[in-house]
Amino acid sequence: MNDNVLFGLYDKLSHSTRDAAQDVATLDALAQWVKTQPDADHAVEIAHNCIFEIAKSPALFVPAVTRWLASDEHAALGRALVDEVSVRHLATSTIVPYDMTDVPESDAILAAFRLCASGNAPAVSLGWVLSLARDLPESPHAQKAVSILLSYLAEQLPSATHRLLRLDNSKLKDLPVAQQTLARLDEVDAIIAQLPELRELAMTSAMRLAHASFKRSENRDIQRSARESSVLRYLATEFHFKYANRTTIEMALGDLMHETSMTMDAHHLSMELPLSEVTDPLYGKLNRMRLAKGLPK
Amino acid sequence: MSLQLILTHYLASLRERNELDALLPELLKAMGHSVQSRAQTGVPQAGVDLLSTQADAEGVEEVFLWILKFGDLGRGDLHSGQQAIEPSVHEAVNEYVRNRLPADLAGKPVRVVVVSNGVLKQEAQSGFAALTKYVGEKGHRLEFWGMDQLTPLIEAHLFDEALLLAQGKSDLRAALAGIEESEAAVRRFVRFLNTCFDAPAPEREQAAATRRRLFLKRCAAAAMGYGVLTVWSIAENNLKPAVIVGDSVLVRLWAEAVKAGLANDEEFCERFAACLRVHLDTLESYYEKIMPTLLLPRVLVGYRPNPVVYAQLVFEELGRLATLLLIAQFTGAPTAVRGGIHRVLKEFVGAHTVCCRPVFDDHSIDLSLALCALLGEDDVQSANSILHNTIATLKIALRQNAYLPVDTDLMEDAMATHVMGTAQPRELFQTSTLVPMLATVAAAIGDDKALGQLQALAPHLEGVTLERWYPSKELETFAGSKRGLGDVGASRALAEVRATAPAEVEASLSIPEGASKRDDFVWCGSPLEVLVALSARLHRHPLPTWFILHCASDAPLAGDAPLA
Repeated sequence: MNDNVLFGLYDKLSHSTRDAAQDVATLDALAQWVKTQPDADHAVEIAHNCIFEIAKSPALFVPAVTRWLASDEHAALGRALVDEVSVRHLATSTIVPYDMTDVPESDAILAAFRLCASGNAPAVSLGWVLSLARDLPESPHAQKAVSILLSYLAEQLPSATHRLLRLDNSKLKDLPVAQQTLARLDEVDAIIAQLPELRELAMTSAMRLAHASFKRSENRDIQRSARESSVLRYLATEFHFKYANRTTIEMALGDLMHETSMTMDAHHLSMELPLSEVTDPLYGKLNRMRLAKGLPK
Repeated sequence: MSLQLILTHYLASLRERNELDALLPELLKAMGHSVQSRAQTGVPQAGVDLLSTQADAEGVEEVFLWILKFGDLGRGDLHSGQQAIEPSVHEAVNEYVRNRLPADLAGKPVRVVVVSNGVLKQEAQSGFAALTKYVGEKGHRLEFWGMDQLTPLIEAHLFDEALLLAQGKSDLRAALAGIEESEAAVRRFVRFLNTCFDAPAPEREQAAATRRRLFLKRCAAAAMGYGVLTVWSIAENNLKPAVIVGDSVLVRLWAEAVKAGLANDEEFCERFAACLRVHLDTLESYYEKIMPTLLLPRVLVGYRPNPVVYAQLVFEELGRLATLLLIAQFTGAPTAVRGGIHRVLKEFVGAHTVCCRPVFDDHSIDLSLALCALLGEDDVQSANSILHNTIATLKIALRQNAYLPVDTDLMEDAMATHVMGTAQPRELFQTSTLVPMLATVAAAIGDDKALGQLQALAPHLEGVTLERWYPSKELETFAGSKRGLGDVGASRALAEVRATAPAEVEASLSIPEGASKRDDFVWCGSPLEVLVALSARLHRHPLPTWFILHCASDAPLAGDAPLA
């Protein structure tokens, strides 16, 4: 039964043509289905394909987020959607624009605060905030929210925000608020570039050792968890090389020895954590909780 | 920054054989002289202690005959006595130049220089001028190099461990060699200080005057080593060792003076003030250099990439900056100077929210210093804001059972509980000196509301010992001693925070057995009482309650005698 309902919803969500009214009905049906399940988190896990489709399409994402993030009733769905869209746009180097013309203002504003508070991919958070500035220029509430959230992003994720504002080619970048934020970040970068390298602030040897050990164990945890959740481990054999990037692998095929050469490429993805994760994690947490409450009264 | 005063004190202390006469050849070599012969005991030298040569810009070689004297030279010293200059000069220009000058130097221009680690008194100057004329008639030149000529030359040419004669020279050399690594340099310098002040047993049996002279000499050597390290720190572009050892030197000098019973000795105070001046100048340069970076958390995370080491830097600088302001207050620095430091301290606290959330329990020391410094400026509003923020943050941490101040003060414990989550926060929060300190500050500013908030934390503090520490008078001589911190004070476990300010003040000032009252300390009432703040930072002990209450009181902090 569940499979049939979910398949029906997935079918509608993955359709190549969009109908706004139909989409809203489908999203509500999905939310209703999750609500009827005994374990919301488990239900959301089962509905992963639907969530994947919603995260893929900005036309679905906007009504979904405004419905689910703005309401505590659909918290599990909201969280899952934010996670999915965050993973999707982790490496995105341009701002993701959204159309908010058909969305209730208060929901769009609250979703903006919650997207920023959730530690979402900056391309999404910034895209949402700037779309808010573009689509609701007459709303004082929206403009106040934009001002608060841009300051938050510029302060907590300065490098990512700066990079996105600098490299983006969309019209969102031309908004006055975006230009002001960019100018402010340019100014700070210019100041930072002038600062000398200070030996006075270097870590002591004990600190260096403790930090290196922490980073090593953190890295091992990430690798272990990635290996455990990867389907590739069922399909492929792992080889670990210490010294070279160009490698040859021997394979015994019966009596014959076959060799395959391959070049290893490095893959990495760097993400900026909110500044408060280092400077004061408790303050960062409280600040995000405050943001999640929406526009201050 | 001028270290000439320290250098002057040091040179003045070199009054024995193998001291100034051992230093002079090193200075001459550093100045580009070629030293041909040195002073030798028991060998007739025809008035000349040292012979050197130096080529001028055109390559013309000049011969220098050095005549060594000690201390200030008066009219009496010109003609007779042990220091007699005239006979030495006569011997040099007549006997030495004619008969003893090596053949290859014969006929070259000769300059006779009388060197002393004192001054040529005015009463002797006309006699010396006549002597100069006499030497001139012989075709040579005569000059006097006293303290005023030696100090700039040494500062320019010989500011390293070669200045020190024997004691601690190797430790100082090691400190200078590793100055890039602040921690190692400081450790080696402390070893140098220990060697400097390690008086041999026979010396302790000597007469009071001799002991005083030797003590002052040790102070001068320690100060000289400190001066050398400071100059090298500047040259190597790492001021950290200099600012850290500055605290050590001041606290140690005081400890030794108290031990020697010379804390009020005028000459000691003069030497102490010279070191304090250098320390303040170094701190000024230090903050001019690093403050733009310190105010930018985004840049700081590049140096300190995790929350624990980041907080360590913030609290270290918070304590140091606060101590600087306290020194300025206690030594009667001009209002403009104090105002500048006060403004920077507030900016720093504003830039770092973690200032109100000690990561280690001993960060309470740095926080209390900041609160005292603000109260010393009558800035009750800022102190109150920090106090309330700290209480509010502690309340959240207690409710969430996370980010509690780690009572072991160990980095690995803080990493385990705050970063990796591998240790239970409560296991490392069994003692708190933070809560008693906040209670004393709240009482000092009469803030019953804050006391009420602290009282309300009681249910979350079950099983946590609220420790309030009181020093004994041995704290003044703790630096460099073999004792542990546990031996120089007593602690009380608080049953509760009192509800009203007067009751909490009374409780804070109630001295337990084994501790001493404020007026039992030699520094009480003098500007040097501020050394308790330096000691707190250096030895990581809580600030005494009486000090906090004194800073918050209306009584002037500077005392009667401005030092700096």
